[in-house]
Amino acid sequence: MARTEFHSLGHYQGGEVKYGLLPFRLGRFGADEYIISNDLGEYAFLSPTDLERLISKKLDPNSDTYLNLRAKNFVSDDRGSVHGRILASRYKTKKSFLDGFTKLHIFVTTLRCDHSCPYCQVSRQSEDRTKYDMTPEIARRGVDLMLRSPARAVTCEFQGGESLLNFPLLKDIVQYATERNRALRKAITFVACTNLSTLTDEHLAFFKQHNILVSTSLDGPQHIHDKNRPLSRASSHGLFEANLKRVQGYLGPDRVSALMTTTKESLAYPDEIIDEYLRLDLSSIFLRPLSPFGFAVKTVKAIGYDTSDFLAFYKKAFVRILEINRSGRHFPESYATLILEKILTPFPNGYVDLQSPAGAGFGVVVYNYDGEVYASDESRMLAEMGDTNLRLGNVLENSYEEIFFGEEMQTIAAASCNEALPGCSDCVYQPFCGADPVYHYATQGDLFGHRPTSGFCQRNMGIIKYLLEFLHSGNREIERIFWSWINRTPLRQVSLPEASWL
Amino acid sequence: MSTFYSEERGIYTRVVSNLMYSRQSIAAAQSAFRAHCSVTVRPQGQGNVAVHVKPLGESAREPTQAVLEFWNFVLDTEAQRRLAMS
Repeated sequence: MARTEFHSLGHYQGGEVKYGLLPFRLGRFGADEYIISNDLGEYAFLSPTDLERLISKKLDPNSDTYLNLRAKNFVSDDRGSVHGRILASRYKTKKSFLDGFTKLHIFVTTLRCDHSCPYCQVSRQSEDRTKYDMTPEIARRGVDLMLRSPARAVTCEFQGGESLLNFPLLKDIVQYATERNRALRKAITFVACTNLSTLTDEHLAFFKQHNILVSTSLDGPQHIHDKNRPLSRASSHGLFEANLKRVQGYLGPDRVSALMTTTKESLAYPDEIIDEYLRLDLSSIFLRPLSPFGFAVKTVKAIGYDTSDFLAFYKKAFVRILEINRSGRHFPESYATLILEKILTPFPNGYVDLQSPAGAGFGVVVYNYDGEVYASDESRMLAEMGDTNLRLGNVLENSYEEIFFGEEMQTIAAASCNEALPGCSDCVYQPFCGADPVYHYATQGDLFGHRPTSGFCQRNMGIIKYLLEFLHSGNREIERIFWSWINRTPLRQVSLPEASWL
Repeated sequence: MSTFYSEERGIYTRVVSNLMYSRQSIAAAQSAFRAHCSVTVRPQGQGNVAVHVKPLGESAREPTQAVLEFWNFVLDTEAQRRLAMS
């Protein structure tokens, strides 16, 4: 009997499809899978067999695996002639945060502060030492530099110390910038970072008049907040709660946000910290680790912890946050939202600590009270500790070009792209992460850093993997929650497509 | 979060999710390309929309180029919108 042999499907579809591999990174994911990612931020999970087939170019071009990898730009074949242009468009979009250059301009209006927080990044000064106040001349020169930025939209943020202790200068900056901007017509967002302890009606009226956002700090319930943020004359938490209500009532709840800092004291209370945010009607939480700068370096033994301790705390808190969102209350964790935006969308975000090139100088610049300019808040902390290597210049002595394109900025820039950093360049999580040369300089004495011992790397990799595990689990409810965070919409309005291309 | 393109009788169709591309960004591109492409948007349910792009006039000579530029515009607009929010 004659043997019947069928042709492959490809035979009837116009012949064999030849494909080439586009650049990607790979890593193990769990015990028996791989994850691959590319510069566009696309990712895919593969079995060892499929990975082997992909690399040896033996994947069936009509299989779902192949088509998925093609859609995500891991392979290219002769079925489309526009692939290169699509890749260019996607890559440009991923890096579009660079458009307009430095957008966040921080003014340290004073080093004076009424709190004595052990983790403070700043070399605070007591309330009466006005020599640590920024002068109007320095402030106005800083505003001139800010308005030289090519960005159409800039953010002018007031920090301290406690920024409201030099309120006349804050007012002067807002009025001067507004006046000078009449001809330039940039969009300027003003943000006052304040512990709220000295808030007055005059402050509130001015904030409302000039549409100023308020960024404050809440570390949790009273016993944690007061321990982390001691105030000699009263309970810091008591003042905070009373004044937060005033801000929420007068400006609106969406005009104020809070940041929390995790100390050793916080680690045992993830649920209580979150519940305190909910009780005070705050709309999100940003679970932040201690920064290895400023006073925190001196007090690390008392308030510090290992990265693994932070990750355990983060995961416990995250589970509680998911429960809250499941119950119908929109309450995102801000750091996860920033990373998820990078994982799930083709878009970048403006968060300077998760960018490549790093945000230092490219995205943010700090004008210190004394006129010195730094590429980030952390560079300023190092200078307060005696290390001025990351100083970009001085507002009274240097031009815009000298400050933003000078030797110091170029030194920082050279270590700012994680695509080219040892340990990052071949890391599968690189598209979702950032670079932080200042952190590595502060903790390891080297702008480029040593990734295997880097707390920045361990923390980010831990959180990114954790989020990917949720996505890989196929839990559609959690996926909807993540999209509600990314798009800032209530969960009930999020409808996932039937066939997910994630 | 988007399907492949399909093309039929000079109309290029792509189904996308509003989770990724907001109505505002698609509408902005629709308006900007008014002289170059006829664009219709039809809801598909579950937050999806089908965007049909038909290059017109001179643009119809290089339809792929016109369609790519349309989607490039959507991508840019959406990126800027999200950056402004973050």
